[in-house]
Amino acid sequence: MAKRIVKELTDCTQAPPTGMKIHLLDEQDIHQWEVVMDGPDGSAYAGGHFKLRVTLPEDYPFKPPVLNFTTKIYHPNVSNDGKGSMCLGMLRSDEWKPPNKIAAVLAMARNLLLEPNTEDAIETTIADQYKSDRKAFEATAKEWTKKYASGK
Amino acid sequence: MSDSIGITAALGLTVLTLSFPDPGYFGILQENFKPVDTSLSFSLQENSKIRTLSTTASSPGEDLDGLLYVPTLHRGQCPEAAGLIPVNATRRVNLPDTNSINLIALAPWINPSCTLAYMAAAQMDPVKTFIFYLPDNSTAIPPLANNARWSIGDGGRWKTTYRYPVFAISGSTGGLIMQNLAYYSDNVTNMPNGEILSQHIDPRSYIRLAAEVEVSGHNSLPSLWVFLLIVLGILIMIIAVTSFFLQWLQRKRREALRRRVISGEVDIEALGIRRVTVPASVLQQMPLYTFVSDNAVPKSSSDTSTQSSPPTSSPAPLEPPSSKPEAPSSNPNNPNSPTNPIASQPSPLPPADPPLSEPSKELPPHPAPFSQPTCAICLDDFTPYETRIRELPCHHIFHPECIDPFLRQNSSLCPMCKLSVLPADYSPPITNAMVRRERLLRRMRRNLHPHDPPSIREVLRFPRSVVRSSSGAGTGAVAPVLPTTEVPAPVRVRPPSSGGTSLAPPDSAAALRAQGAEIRERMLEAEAARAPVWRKVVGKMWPRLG
Repeated sequence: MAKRIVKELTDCTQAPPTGMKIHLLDEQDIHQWEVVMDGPDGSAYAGGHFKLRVTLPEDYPFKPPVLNFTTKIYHPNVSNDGKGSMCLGMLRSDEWKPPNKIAAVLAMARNLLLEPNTEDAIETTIADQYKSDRKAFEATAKEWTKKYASGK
Repeated sequence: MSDSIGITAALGLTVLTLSFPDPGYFGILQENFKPVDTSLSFSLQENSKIRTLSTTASSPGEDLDGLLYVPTLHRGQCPEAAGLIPVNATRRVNLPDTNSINLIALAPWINPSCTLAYMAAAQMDPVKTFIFYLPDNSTAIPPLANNARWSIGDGGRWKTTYRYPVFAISGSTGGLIMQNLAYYSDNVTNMPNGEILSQHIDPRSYIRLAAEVEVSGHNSLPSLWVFLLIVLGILIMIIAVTSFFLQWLQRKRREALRRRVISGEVDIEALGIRRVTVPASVLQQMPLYTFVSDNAVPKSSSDTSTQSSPPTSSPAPLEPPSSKPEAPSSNPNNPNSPTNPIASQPSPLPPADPPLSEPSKELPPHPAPFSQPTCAICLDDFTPYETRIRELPCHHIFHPECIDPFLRQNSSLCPMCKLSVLPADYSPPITNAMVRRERLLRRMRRNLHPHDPPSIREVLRFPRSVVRSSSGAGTGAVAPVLPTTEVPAPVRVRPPSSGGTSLAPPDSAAALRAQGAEIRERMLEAEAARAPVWRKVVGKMWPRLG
């Protein structure tokens, strides 16, 4: 299904989704994409440039892509373990549908920066803080954005 | 030859008087050796006052018996023994001259050189064991084997040099036996009660002392092993029986689940078992035909057709350049075209889908029930009158080369709407995992909704009921069963009149479904958490029935 990936890549590079720059990590490997996502305005991540790795499995689109933040980010839905795994509902293998496109996945990821999903959090402590002490959450998120995501 | 087996220990000594004919004439037969009436002859029973000095060449539990005698030393050896051993004590020459009888040597332990001389002399004879006693007339039990009193000064090498076990008895007992060895060494007439004895016993017979050393392990050791073996056997039997029983129970449950799946009571997809795939035979019965554009403007043009009437609204307005049969909208050969969805739809129990019951390999080109311009898997557009497409029971269409591998290998669900493509009465091979999952799910549901069984059942077979009703979904009246999330949005056009109302009722169903998914997720996690190898092995033997 390389054809589909190429097609999606062409679409994404010609008309990138809002606030994103997409290119291949390695020109030889269409299964590894690198995305630079701008923190959405109005969120604690505004002004940050977050790097993401999109890994497409061999049998994409039958299996969901895998999203990792390579830039450290303070977010309830991104694991804070050096892998930066992100678990969106639609990326779970039993909820993934082949018609879903990577652009849509990325748009959803960016939307998650605006509105974290505390019900489905990986980092439960961050989720709790987000719910109970929004100010402290935003302060830390901004600090991290400044510290890790302000480069280029 | 086994060397010392450490567990052998003497428990007791029995000495009694035996009479037996000369083996030279009668052979060595067990029944020829007869005990002499103990009231008329010497006998002695010594329990516990016996030490084991060497266990060489003895085996546990094997009692040692033989005729008692005093080994004869070479002239000049051990002069100290002279006063301790009666002159006419039984010697080798007073016993039958054959090596096929067992002997037990008896001697006082005077000093190392005497002991060595005696043991060397006994080595020449068919000796079963050697019994020493300290010539001190003590009635106490002799010292322990590691006592310096028993030291010969060779570091215990004698124990391997002389290949018979060695025991020690108390001085008084030893002296007593030694004294009687002198009485019972010759003719009957010289023995105590000799006259009476000679009346009963052939005077040509031997009458001599014999001894038996009872050795430990006789009963206890083998019985321990036997006991262990019995326990082991019982355990294995319990394992086998329970394993067999559990396997049988599993089999019953698999069969029961299979029946329920076939009857539509349980939706196997809803159990969340991965890799329920579509067998080739089922796949081949799904309609395959050439794509025809129905000219409905793709996607968002909502007003042209409700999906109940795609055939009538689009009678092939794009004239095909080729000579294909035109206007296949009302093709009678295609039973799958939803000509009258409303009539067939409301019954919740589905008649098996007609197109699936007959192998319909290649159908003539006709428009798909919904307008779908691209294949959702490869994102390529379909070319009218050129592209061959496969239509799933939910009426979504794909390239066969895209959808077939997916259904064969990945999933039995439509990639667009996640509805099962399997026929209602189809049951995939039921695995034990499915049985477990289904039971667990049922139990959890019961706990979550103790008073709400019907809606639960609805959740269980939800996807299938959607398949059955999907063709009429747009008509409003039957909308409630349809969850909004399952509508393939670009294709199915909701009539404006029913748009608002159709949202509300499915919500509860969708919520229930979401709940089901959540339960499933939790179970998957739980199952992943416990998967060590030993668990699998044990699981084979004792299947979890949970």
